[in-house]
Amino acid sequence: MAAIALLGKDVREHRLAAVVLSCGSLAVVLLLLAQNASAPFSMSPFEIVRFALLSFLPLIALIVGNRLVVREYLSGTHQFVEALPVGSFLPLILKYLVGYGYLAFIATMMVLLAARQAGVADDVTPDYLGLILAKTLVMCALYWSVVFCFSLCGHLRIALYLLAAALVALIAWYPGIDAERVAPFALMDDQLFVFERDRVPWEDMAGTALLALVFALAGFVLSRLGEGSVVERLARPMTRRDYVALGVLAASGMAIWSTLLDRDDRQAVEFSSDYVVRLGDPAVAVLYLEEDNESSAQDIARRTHASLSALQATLGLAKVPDVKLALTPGRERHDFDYETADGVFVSANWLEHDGYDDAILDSVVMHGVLSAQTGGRAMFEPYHWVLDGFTRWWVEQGRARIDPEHQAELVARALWVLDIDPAASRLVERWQLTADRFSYPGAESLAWASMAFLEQSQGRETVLRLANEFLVKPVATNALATLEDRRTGIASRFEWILGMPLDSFHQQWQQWLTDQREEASVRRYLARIPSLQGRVISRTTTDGVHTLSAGYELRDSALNLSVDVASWEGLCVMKHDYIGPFDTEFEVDDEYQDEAPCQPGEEVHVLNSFYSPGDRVLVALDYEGPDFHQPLRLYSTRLSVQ
Amino acid sequence: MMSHLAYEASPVPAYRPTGSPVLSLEAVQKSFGSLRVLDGLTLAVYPGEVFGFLGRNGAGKSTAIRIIMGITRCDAGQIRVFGKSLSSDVTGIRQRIGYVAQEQNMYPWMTPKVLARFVSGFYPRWDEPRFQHLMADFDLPAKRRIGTFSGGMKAKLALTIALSTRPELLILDEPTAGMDPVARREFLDLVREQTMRDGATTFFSTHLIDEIEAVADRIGIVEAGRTIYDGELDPLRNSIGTWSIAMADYVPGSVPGEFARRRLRVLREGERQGRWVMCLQFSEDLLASHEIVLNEGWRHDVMSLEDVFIAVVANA
Repeated sequence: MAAIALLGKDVREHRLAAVVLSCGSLAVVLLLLAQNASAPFSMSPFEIVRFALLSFLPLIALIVGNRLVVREYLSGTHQFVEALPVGSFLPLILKYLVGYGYLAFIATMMVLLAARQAGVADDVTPDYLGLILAKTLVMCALYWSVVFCFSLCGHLRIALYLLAAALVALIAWYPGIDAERVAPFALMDDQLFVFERDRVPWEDMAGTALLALVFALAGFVLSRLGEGSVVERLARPMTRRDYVALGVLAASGMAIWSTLLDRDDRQAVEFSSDYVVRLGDPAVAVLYLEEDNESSAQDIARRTHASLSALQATLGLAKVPDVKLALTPGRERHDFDYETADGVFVSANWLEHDGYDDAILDSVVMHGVLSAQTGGRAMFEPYHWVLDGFTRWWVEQGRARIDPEHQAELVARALWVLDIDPAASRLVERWQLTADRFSYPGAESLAWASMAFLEQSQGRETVLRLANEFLVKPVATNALATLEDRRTGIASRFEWILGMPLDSFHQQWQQWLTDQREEASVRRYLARIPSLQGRVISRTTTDGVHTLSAGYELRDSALNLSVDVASWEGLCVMKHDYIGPFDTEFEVDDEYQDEAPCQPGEEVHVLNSFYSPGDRVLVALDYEGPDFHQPLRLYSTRLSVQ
Repeated sequence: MMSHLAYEASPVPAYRPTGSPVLSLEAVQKSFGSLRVLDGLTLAVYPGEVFGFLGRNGAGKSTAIRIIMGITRCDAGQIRVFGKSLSSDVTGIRQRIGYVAQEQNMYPWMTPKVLARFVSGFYPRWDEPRFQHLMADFDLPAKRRIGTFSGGMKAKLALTIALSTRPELLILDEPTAGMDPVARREFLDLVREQTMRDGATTFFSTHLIDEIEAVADRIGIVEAGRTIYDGELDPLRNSIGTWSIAMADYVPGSVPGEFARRRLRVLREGERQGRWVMCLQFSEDLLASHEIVLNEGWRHDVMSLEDVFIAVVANA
């Protein structure tokens, strides 16, 4: 009865605020999900859950703590309750449970709403959903326990929150600490939180839960310390001396923080070799290893520098990141290693590049530069295709006329993609799925084609305006600004720049592409593409041997693709790998591929006993011929080996 | 010159406690850090009596009450309520106690009706008709937010709530603090009336002497955490007197009357407004004589109960 009375009191006291707060927060989530729905394959809706956990769920926890705990102690009403015939811990235990239950309810609703939308683009299994939910609830427990404990510290709580915020900032940003290894931070990793689905991060979850337990227990101990007199004393209003102490604390914290940062300010990576070509403003450094390679390094450095300078001037960029290119002769022509942690660092083998390969390399560099301009955001937004399309467009024709051969190859690839999947023309909604199905070269050709069409139909300025809108405009750095950013949908922003509805753009752009299929150069490329579709079979024999096999079939096409098996000079390649935590992207290692002549109707690739039951595998069937610089992805699928 | 001082007989028959104590504290000690708040507090409250718990601010009254309520634990000593050790069943004991705190920390957003519904969940013997009746008697609005109540109304509401639990022991911790004299008088009348009607035992803590005079059968005076008097009011009042003599007539070491020093205790003496003043406490056998023969020049000064209290406390 006592517990019911206490619960009833809290519900009655806070019900209105609780309803408003939960409706408000869920409305924000729904708004974000609605924005995301315009491009369900670009960003997982679970990223919104992560965003909520990092931004407004702590705020909700603060509000709840303030109402449930702080108010009770500040107003002295806890003294009324403690004189009632009830155990000394029960009121506080109930408050802890009510607060956590409320946060858990909001968080669970967020996860379920996100899961509902994620199901459109992703395989949301019960295990996956359970894992996201478990991580979310553990984080909620931590937030609530911290707030619960600090709320019992009366006016000291402000200092404690400042201290905690400083500590979080220190761990998250201090270069000397690897935050990804520290429990709650590791759990909230920007990639793992959303995409990890096979491995349960027990250690991180247990660490976070333990931390939550420590804070909760600290709260209970504090509430009984000196029979509650400590909490009571702390609940009194702050004195002038407290304010001064708080000011001194904040100033000391800032001083320590800035000293630490100064002391451990990380120097950017610099090439130390003598074989480096360096150009300044914007900084470009090219490592070439041997004297024989110096001229190629000079060429690439000058080309990159000129392209960067022009980009900076054209888009009005205040600063561009340092670009470093390292020659790695062991690599394949199209094999790039690309890092953006410290400027843009690309290692590649350009010694045997032709003009098309150089354009790909230049695109990679520009992609890094502009991605950094968006704070890395563009990679996860429904305008990722603008980044890819614009960089390729800039490299190919931003400063000069495009090489007709490049154009023909790009158009042919784009036509081939649209021939298989006409819906891929809907770039805003389908970009990420297209990239996943056809690999990045396929998706990039579409993005480039859309920019090329815009340039032809509306002029160069429209392409630049598009880049300015999505890639140059500063990204929001706080929750409110992010919401403001998302107030206008991506599609609306796009339409505003184009001056036409998105559907009209799609129709006109597709028509522009279709019109080019009769161009002789394009027909030549199309005629080199085998009109094939792939299939993959995964089976396990009765004696437990797993077999992965793949074959090809001829398919009908509106394009003049090749059906003459004898004329196919390339090879069909089955690429396969375990699916890592990042389900949406796939880079296959050389050793996980099987090359064979393309033979329709036959089982071309057979792989025995490689995978075991429970493994999740991505299998891709590529055609690698001499005419196209990059493979054509005929088929791709994800399998769960049973 | 000889003068006679005759004590008036008490208008009510002397109160005599009977039965086992409802509440007893034995050598209770409590310290907060280095500050000793209770230093061997001992007292007993008997069934049906109104016990006035008197002491200066900071004497340890509220701490003692928090200990009796089981909110605070004592460091040493024994507390028995209804014959049971407090630690054996604090929740059960509290269900039999009605408590009116010094500060009314009731939820300001609640109405008395909502508060009653909330509190009734803790008391199996909650008496709703009585609550309604007392609300009407005290003229309290049932549907107005408590936050808008005056201090007196809040105290009345607290008493209403406490009495509606049908308590066997009513503990009042300076409930009239901050009330105006009229409201205080009303409140005390209500306490007296209700406790007499119910026959409940009342433990009334205050530092106001007139409140004790108005309601208490017996008093306990606490000073510096110790009991310095535990008994009825009249014997205390009758045992203490103040005499004065003009400074010009005062012979150092002299006393006001013909009694031996060993039979009295000098509570206070000193010069005040040109006269030498002595406050004396008599032993019981001298008090029984009801008559003191004064030496020449001395006169008996009238003492209020407050003067008595101050004298006792100051001497402690």
